[in-house]
Amino acid sequence: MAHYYLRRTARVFITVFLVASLSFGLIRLLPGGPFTLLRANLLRQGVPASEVDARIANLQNIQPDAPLWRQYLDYMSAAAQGDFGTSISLDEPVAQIIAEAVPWTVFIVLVSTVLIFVFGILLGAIQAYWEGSRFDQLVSGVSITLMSIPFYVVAVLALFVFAYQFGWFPTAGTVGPTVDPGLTPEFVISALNHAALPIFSYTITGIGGQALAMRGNSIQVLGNDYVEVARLRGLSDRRIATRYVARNAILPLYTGFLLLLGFRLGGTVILEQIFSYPGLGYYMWSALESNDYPLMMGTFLVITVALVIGVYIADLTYGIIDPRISRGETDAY
Amino acid sequence: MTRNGNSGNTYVDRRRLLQAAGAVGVSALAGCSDNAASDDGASDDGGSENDSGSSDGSSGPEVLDTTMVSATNNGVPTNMHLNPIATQNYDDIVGAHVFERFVAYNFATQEFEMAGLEDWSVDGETFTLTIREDLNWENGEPVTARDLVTQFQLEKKTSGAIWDFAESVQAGDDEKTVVFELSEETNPRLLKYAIGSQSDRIYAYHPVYEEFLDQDASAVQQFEWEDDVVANGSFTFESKSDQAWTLARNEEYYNADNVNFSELQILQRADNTALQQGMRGGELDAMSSMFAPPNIANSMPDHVQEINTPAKWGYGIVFNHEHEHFGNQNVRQAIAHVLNREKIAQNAGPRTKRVPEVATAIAVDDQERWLGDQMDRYETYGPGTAQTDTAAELLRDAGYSKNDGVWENGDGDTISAQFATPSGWTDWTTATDTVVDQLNSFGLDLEIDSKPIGDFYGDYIESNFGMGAFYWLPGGARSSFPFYPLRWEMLCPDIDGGHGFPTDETTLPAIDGSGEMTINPLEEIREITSMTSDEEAAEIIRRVAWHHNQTLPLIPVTEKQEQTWISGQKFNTPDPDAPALGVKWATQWLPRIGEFTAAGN
Repeated sequence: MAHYYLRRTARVFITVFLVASLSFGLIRLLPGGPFTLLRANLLRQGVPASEVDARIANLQNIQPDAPLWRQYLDYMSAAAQGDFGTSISLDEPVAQIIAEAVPWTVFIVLVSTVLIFVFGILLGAIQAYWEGSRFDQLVSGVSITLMSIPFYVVAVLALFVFAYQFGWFPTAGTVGPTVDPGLTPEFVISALNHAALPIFSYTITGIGGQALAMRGNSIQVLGNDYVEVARLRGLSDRRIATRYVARNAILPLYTGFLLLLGFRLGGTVILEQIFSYPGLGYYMWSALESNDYPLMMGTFLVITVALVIGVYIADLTYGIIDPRISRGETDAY
Repeated sequence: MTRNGNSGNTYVDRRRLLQAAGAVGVSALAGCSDNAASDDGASDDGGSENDSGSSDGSSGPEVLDTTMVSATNNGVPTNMHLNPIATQNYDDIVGAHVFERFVAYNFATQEFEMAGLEDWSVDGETFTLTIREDLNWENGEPVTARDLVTQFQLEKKTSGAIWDFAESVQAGDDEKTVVFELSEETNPRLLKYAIGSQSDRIYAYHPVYEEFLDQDASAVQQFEWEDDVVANGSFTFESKSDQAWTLARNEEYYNADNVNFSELQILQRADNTALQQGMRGGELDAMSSMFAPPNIANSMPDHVQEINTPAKWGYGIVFNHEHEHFGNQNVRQAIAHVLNREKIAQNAGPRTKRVPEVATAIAVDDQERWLGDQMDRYETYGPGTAQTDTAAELLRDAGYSKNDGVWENGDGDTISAQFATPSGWTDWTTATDTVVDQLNSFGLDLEIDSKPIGDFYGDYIESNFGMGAFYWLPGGARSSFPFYPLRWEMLCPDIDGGHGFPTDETTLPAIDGSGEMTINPLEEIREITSMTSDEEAAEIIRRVAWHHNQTLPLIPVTEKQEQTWISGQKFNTPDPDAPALGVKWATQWLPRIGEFTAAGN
């Protein structure tokens, strides 16, 4: 048992180390340097090229390019202490930028993923209960349709219709420009108002998949012998549905939930760009555009670590939910 | 756009101002009008002409509780700041409202109008600036020579444009005069363009910037001015958040009486579509520069006014002059003949793209003025036709032949290359599609290589390209004086000269067709720096323009018209013909001269 947890914990560190090393190498294989976009921006502002050169040269003098191995060692040792360096393009500590951006992204991802599961499981369970009914067919059809539409298409349409055309929701940002941060009703309402469309587009396209998965699992469980036995024992339908069917049908979805949280963090790169929502994905995109290595590394690592931790928690807790795992009867799920 | 004289316009300005302020205090405004009427209305002194300050102590017009909403696409406001000399993250869209400019170049009248300066003059080896008497910082302190000397000394550390000509700067006889000692007698136009661009602002409040005088340049370049910003423009900095900048009307501003609304909010918007939708849907009242293709522009509500000004910038084609094929002048000329530039403009944006008649580094509006009656001697390369026969003849003369529909040289190498273009610049992408299609139809073998903007510049700087899209004029007011674009095309400092254009002495057919001429283009253009008259300079400009017309360092394809947008939903907007619309950017210039006032509805 202890061996199982030890192995899983070691795997977390190895995975994070490998991902950090790999992304460090890959990022530096990107063409161009961190100052090319800066150059383009200064020229666009009308600064004469000779002055642009002088300004960039002065900046490079204080941020010289160290040898790659030195950069790697420095980065890994600093990152281990939670220091991701200073963003080249924003000239602020990466940790600070991430700390300010992460809550917004986590808010959107968490809320939308929970909604996906709540609605997905409910719909799937009802479909399984009424398998073959008109409701089942209708929901299955709608689910497949929604699954086949990428979330960013819904996002663009929702932004256009509900924000620009009807003006029901704000077009960009996390809270209103005049709202002071703090746990005030005004702030909470403004934050919810701004997050409504991103959450809607991120949720609506995900529900179908979960509903179908839940439906499939439930139908499979309904056909098991122990459900038949429960029926023969005269247990109520409600008890069978919640204790016997739902529990076992949700079990495989549980790991999916934690993994999905991590994966969906990556999807925010597009989502936050569409809604000009300055979260983690928004800054990752801006880092990619400007070849801002420290910021890129920082955002990559946060998303990777989130995914790894998601898997780790699933590993640790799955044993509690399904005792067969902790007994070592099976390692696969 | 017709441009009439100033006097009629002055009358219209005041009438509009009265209309706007009618409900909020006509009597006070009448006092202002009298004040303005007594001002000097010299044609190059727009600042004075537009004065309506209440220096006599009378109160100005009532300020309405209206917020003008505009947008910036420079970045999240909390990451940006207001130090114009910083290398990174200065938001110039916001800074333009907070800091007064020295002068304003009017692209319609092609004249400078005075703004933060009252006067400027060149006398031998001195260049004297006179700061406006009533130009103050927001705390009431006057903007003095000490501030400007500090600013120019700091800009010396970052190779500011004026330091190409100046040796030293110091305060003059009074606190409002700044005097540059020049290294030699210098063309006054060059001095004026060196401080007269839209981005040149008066910002260095001495108590804030003096600490950087004794430090390395990197210190001031990294200074992020976010707290206690001291403004001298029409608005002061109030606050910023992730979503927006909030600016307040600057009561100390000398033209404050022209600004009759209390607040300016500049929202952060990441992409062009968001800006377009914002302007169309009424979220935005003004947008300084926003590209909108014809279908979007036509869909704007009637109260949205589009203002077009020449960008002195536009889509062109740059060659790697060390390339096997494109280093050959005949190949470049053949390409210029094949391109139907009017069709390219038609595809890329018929409303906002103009085609230069003569293929040389002089902007569309300036060609006739500088080339004069010799203009028709220059090669046009057929702007509206594909002159494929002429192109084929040029290639054959250079030893090329056509096999299986593709041109190849004596070694059997086809004229093939990647055609670089920046991704995300939608109008450029369309232009590139058309260019590559036209050239491939003629028998070249080109493939579009679309890259993010950073990599796009990076490859050009490292000469890692064959040919590609690039702007053929440096842009801004200074592009109006051909000295700048002619020299710029040879050196292409924006890409560190990565195009490798040879600038040494060369022999060409003479302009008048009689024999040949020898020219050292870079040396000749440099002579203009010490010429004090346009007549002297014009002769050299014509020779170097001819050199470019024949050798084609870049091919000029189209010149862009900037698109500025203002909305009349909450604000009074000027006549579409108003000369003031020639100043960039109208969204910043119009409020300060009382041409964009809150309507109070």
